[in-house]
Amino acid sequence: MERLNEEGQWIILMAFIISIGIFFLAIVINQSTVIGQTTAEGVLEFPKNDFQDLRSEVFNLSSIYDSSLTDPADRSRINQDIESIALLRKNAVVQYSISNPQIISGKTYVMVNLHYNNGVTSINETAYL
Amino acid sequence: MVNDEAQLYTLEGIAAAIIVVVTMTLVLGTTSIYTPGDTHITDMQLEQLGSDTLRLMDTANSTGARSDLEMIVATYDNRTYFEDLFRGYIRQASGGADSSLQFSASVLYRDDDFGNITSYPLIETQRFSGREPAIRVTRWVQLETRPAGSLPVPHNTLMDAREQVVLVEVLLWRG
Amino acid sequence: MLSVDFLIGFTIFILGLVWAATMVPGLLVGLDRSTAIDYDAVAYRTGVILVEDPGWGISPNNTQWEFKAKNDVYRMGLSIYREKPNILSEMKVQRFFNTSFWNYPDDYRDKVFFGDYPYLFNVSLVTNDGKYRSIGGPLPEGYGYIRRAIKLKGMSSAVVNFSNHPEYNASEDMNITQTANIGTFLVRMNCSQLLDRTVPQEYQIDPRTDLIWINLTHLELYMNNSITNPNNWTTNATLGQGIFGPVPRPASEQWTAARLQNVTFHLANATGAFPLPYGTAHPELWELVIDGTSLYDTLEPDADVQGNISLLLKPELFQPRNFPIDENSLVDVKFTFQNDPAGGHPVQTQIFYGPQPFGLNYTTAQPPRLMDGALEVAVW
Repeated sequence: MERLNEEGQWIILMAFIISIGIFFLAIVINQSTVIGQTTAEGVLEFPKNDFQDLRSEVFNLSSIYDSSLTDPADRSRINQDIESIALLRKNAVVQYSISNPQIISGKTYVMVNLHYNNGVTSINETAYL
Repeated sequence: MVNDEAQLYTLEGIAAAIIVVVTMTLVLGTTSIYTPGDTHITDMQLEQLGSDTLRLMDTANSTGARSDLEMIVATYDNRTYFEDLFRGYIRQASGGADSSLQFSASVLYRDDDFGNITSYPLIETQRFSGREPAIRVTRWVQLETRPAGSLPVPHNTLMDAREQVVLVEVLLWRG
Repeated sequence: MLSVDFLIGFTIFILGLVWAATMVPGLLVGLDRSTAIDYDAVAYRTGVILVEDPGWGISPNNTQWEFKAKNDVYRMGLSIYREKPNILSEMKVQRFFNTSFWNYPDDYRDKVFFGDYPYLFNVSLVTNDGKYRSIGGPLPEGYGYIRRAIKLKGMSSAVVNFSNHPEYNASEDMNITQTANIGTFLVRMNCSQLLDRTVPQEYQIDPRTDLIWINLTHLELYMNNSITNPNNWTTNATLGQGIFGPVPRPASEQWTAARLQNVTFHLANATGAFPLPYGTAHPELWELVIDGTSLYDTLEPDADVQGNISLLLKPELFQPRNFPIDENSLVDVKFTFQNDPAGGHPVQTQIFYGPQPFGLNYTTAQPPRLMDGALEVAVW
């Protein structure tokens, strides 16, 4: 039994060490493939184009608030169009508000508040136009 | 004693080999769950190109003018122009024509009286079966009133004649 | 002292190990693919930087990197403005594809591709006018790729067609007092009009970022040499004799060309021309075309003009180190015509009567044209 303790166990010990080595190697390799997948998937999941589109549309609306879109009822109906269509088709909570023109250091600005949240990505923006 | 040791060594060797092989099999079994990334890459490229195309179609060529996309949605009648325009932007690069690309465009609007959101088709190059892996690109379009052309029944009466924002939705796939 | 029994056990272990080792390639199979995925991601990222970002330069910190020295450029993006993705700037595109300014591939790696890995790449831009620009080498197997659809914001132009502008003709009204400014023609750029924030950036005529052509055409109608030109005739109103009616100008007052002495830039209400090297060749600042053929790099051509003058103002001219302008500037472009005593026609200068400068604004000028195109990025 003494010889068993001194020499016999190193075979099984070796097997354990090698197994653990393989295991960690596999974890590392697995991580790298996961990164490879999520670069393309992450691009698809991140709503960059959605938000850019929403942004340009809201900025566009803010530019006609003074000219062709002056009725508050029209404005709120359009607001509701965007919010409910975005919720239904893009599963995104969208909120925006466009302030009245205000004068900041001699120039007229309109403050636009944007909120976008599709459950994964949340973006908030305040812009002065 | 010799007998004893011989059995123990062999048993240990067998046990060690089993441990290594089982670990390897387990590791292989868990890591090889691998969805090919290639399809995602073409999806990514197609999504970007589709978004670019809609964005450019919605860019007017001079200030104050209406964009092509806005015109197509607002008139509804000359919607075949949508296909020419869309394919034109997609094939602009040196790659040449991409005839395998199919798309189906529709317009989503909100009915203010009932709060319903409904859609009507704008153009369809091929029927979408639902089996192809398709990607979706969208663009907001602002209309001064309901489209001038005759929309398919019942949208003609359903759609409000008011200033509104509609969503143009395009499904893209390779058929 | 090895026993047979130990050898058997050890052999079984080694056999198991060898079997496990043969499985290792199966474990690594995913790694080959992931490098290809990486290239596509880099191509995507580069495409986003080029198409959706206006870039960044330092000293001073702004997005106008295209006019900065190489070391002051931090990031090269081609979009005109952060809020306007997919609309590319002509000047940024020209600078980006200028391979005599940038070293391929090092400068592009530093300022567009980033990262430590030495990527090789090919970036090309095709526009609908058939123009093809590219940097980089031929494509190998297995490269990452992205294609973006874009619009290229081109140049603006203002055409002063003198057949539509009799009001500047000094011969029109012979009763005017022939003042000193009669040999000059002024084009005025009112920057508060041009840079009005209500005009979207993609349609804006911005002298600081865009190319602007000023074309003066049909100058011959202002000269008294044409039979069809009503100004060939002068009203003879000899008082006391009661004779009214057109009589041809005397031969000494007829000429076929005017002599353009120089073109200078002024800030309105400032005395004197802005100190610029008008007399030396600066193709990066301006370009002067006289009668469609002559090309001058200087603005002191001292040359005969028969009909047309075209002046290209390059945005480099309006950078702070040359001729700084802002939203409130009034910039006058002054065309000065000279006496030519040698030609024997001293009245040659008297072609313009300019009570008002010609205003270059959105009603008189052609705003920039947006041209469709495609940008492709390949990385390997």
